[in-house]
Amino acid sequence: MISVDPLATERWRSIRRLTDRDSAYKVPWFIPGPENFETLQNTKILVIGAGGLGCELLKNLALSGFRTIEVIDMDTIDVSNLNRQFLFRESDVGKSKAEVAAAFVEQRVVGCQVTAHNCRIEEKGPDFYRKFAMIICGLDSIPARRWINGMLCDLVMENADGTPDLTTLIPMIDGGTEGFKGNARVIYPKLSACIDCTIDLYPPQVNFPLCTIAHTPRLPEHCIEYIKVVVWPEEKPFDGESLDADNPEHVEWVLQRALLRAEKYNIRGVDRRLTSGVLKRIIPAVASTNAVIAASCALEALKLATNIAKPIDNYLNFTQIHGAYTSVVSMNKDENCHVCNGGRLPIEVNPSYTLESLINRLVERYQLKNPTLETAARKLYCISLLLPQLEEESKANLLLSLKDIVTDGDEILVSDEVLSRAITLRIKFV
Amino acid sequence: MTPSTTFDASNRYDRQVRLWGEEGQASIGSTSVCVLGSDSLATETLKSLVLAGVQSFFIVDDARVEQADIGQNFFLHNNDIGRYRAEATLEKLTELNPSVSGSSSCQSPTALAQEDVEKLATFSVVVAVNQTEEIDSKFAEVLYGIRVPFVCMKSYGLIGTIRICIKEHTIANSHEENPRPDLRLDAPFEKLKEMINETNLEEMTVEQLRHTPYILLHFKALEVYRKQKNDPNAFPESTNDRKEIQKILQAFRRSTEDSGTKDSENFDEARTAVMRAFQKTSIGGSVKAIFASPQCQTSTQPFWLICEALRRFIQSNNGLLPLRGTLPDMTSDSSRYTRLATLFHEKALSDAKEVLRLTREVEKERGVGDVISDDVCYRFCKNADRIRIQSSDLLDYNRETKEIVGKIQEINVDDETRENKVDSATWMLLMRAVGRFKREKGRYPGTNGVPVSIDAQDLKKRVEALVRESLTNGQDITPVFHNVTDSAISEMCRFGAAELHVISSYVGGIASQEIIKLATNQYVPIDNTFVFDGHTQESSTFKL
Repeated sequence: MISVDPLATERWRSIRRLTDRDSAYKVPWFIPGPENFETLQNTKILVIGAGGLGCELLKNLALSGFRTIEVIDMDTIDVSNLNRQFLFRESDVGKSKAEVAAAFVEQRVVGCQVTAHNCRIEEKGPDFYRKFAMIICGLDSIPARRWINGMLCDLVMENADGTPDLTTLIPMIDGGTEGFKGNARVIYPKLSACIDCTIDLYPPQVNFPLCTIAHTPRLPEHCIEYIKVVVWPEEKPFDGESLDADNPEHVEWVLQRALLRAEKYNIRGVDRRLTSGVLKRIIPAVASTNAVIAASCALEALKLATNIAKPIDNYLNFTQIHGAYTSVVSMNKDENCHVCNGGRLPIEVNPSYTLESLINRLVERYQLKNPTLETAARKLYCISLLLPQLEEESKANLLLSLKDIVTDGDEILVSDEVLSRAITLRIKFV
Repeated sequence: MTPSTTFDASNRYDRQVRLWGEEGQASIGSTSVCVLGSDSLATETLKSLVLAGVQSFFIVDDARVEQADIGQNFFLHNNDIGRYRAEATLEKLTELNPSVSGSSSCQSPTALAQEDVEKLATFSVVVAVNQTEEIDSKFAEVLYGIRVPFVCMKSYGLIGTIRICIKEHTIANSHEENPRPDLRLDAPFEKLKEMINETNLEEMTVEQLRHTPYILLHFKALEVYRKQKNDPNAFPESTNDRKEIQKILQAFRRSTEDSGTKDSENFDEARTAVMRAFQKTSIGGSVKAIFASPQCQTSTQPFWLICEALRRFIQSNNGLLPLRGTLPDMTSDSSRYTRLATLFHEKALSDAKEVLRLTREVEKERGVGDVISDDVCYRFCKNADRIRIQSSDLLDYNRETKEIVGKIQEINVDDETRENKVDSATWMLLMRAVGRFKREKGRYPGTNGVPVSIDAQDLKKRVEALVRESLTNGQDITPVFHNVTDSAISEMCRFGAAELHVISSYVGGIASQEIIKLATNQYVPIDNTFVFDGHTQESSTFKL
């Protein structure tokens, strides 16, 4: 008797081998059968970012059987994307990443629907994000990650007994790369370590001290940074246009000035590549690392949608400089995370410390950029060009002791551009 | 923006040139790759190579496009069903980068192996993708003989493997992360000595003291240390010695009358840097191995020509390698830091110039023209303390299965761990058993429609046979077999030769970067076997 492989001529044969058959390594509640593949096809998934990771993710998901995909990205295609963002061609330069990527995948993978959103993630509200079964991110920005992380935590409702309602929980898979290194992680909002629980994993942005770049420059970067932050605003070239690192003429102007400054101080190494690198804070990138990390993320999405194998717990590191190395570590939830705790936290402070010391502490703890602090009664600190009077007042407040501004048990509202929503801190004097 | 600046190649490659430099990009641009196979693992690998800007690629495959290809290969379209897969994928891969040329052959890789070996010798790297063990072995042997790097890889269910086979691979720039700085605290060069002698910490104002780069503080601390020891050549070698240096450094600090604090950034840096900076300048084992190699005495390859010149340089330079010439960043006023940076840079240039002169000598002796340019020599010297060679035995499945069984014998985990997680060596053995299954039955396990459990019995017999053949007569197979669980064997049958796109994309991504390493002689390749387990997303590397 000759038996025949029933999947011999099946387009999705490979995936179905795993979704149709049993395994010792499945998630315990997995039941093998053809329904699993149907469920997978009908799982709604959102890809955030259509760049290096995003292009790979869209391809990976489409070829894993996902059929209802949406993608959101506000960026347009640049020629420097073409070394890795393989859904784009030279003729696409200047067009919307989300739209071109979506159209390409739909054309190539027949039957797959990809809906493009050419906008910022902040332009979409809870009703938009709520419709997805999972969200997968390929972002290069930490504030954007924090924003979507905050959104997904906020979407988790509570049962009557205070436990999270699992039907409202949308898992988030997050990938990141830099050169030959990358990471991939799975987050169950409010249940496992979130982006803000582990905010210390992201090194804070390094800024050169102004006194160094102005008075004692020693590196080529110091020369470029000086032209950017001191000379450009003073000389206001190009009829006072603000510095645009994507404008080659602007880059050239900075380069020429930086070269003069470097010569004056006898510093080697200022060139065009370094100049654009410093001005745009360019992160080097190759196709291969993006492929690896996106595949790692998409594999987790496939597992979550089908239960064919257990998801990672919960953070994967990858590097390929010396050999190829991966490791999976379990990150712990931070019990004092402001995002997981719905933005309300107690804070212990010494009443005789100044407002300035409190702000410094918050900036470091939450990686803030320009926080505003206010109580129910008034604004304590707010630096904004629109409110010059408040700025003066704020600066004066910095030197005051906390006991002179607030009382024990008061709540201070802290907002900042990097926070998806404000943090409410209940002051406890110690 | 004008079109000329928009489509400049340097803009296309900007983000990667920042990693491997113009010279790395140039070597990629002269790389030609031959790939046996055009399934999704092959195209995912090629995708990253074409994007990176290789010169050319050549696909060899006689398969025709089937339904299942459409479900897993991004470089195929529904309309391609029935066409030669090599041709259809070639079309779509070349769209990725207009400067890369691709070609294909619709014959089977077996036919190519029988062709003139000279054809294979023209490739920078040859890659076998999901081929049978017979084809892998055949190509490995031919390529090993003509010293062409060979990468052999598989994507099977949730498992991926990469085996790199090259007789000898030379690495000119390992891009080691955080290499120890080359400061020469034990052997300052002339100009540096002058600057140290001119430096007098006591005569400085507090302001000047606090803007003194830490390398000068280190040299001054060393002077005090030597006086204390009454030994002009003393050098701190132990952690305790280095702690003494830290104490001396602390004593150099001064405070201004108004502030009172002695703390300052440069002293903090000096203190932190002591442990790494106070190391004798020495030549590492990997570099010594290169000098000891017979190739150094005879080879006309560019790498070896400079290595011989380096060896001669060291003989006339008190056993010291050329200076790297890059000074780490340190708090300082502009003038002293840039003076030091310039001294280091100029010394590195002059060392490299001497190495170049010696290279010309070697070139002449070995009857080759001026192979090495100034630039190449200078860059080589900058990384001279981290050059290395990697060598590998010929891919030989019989020998390697024995080694894998040996590794499995050593696994000692409890039953629960064994059931939950399969060791990478066990996956390797199971891949071999699947290979044998395919050879003997003409198909892969789990692909004929009968319950998977039946093929699992068959596969288990083959695992047993492989283990028996690998152990010497009379050795008990139980300890090995204990580690190859029935669950793992069934899992291989569950896969049924599935090639999951995500696994191929993962493995192909890694393989493409390994191929770039082999082609550019930059970074350190996998040595020599890599196994990825998609269940846990863990991977391991071992040498077979």
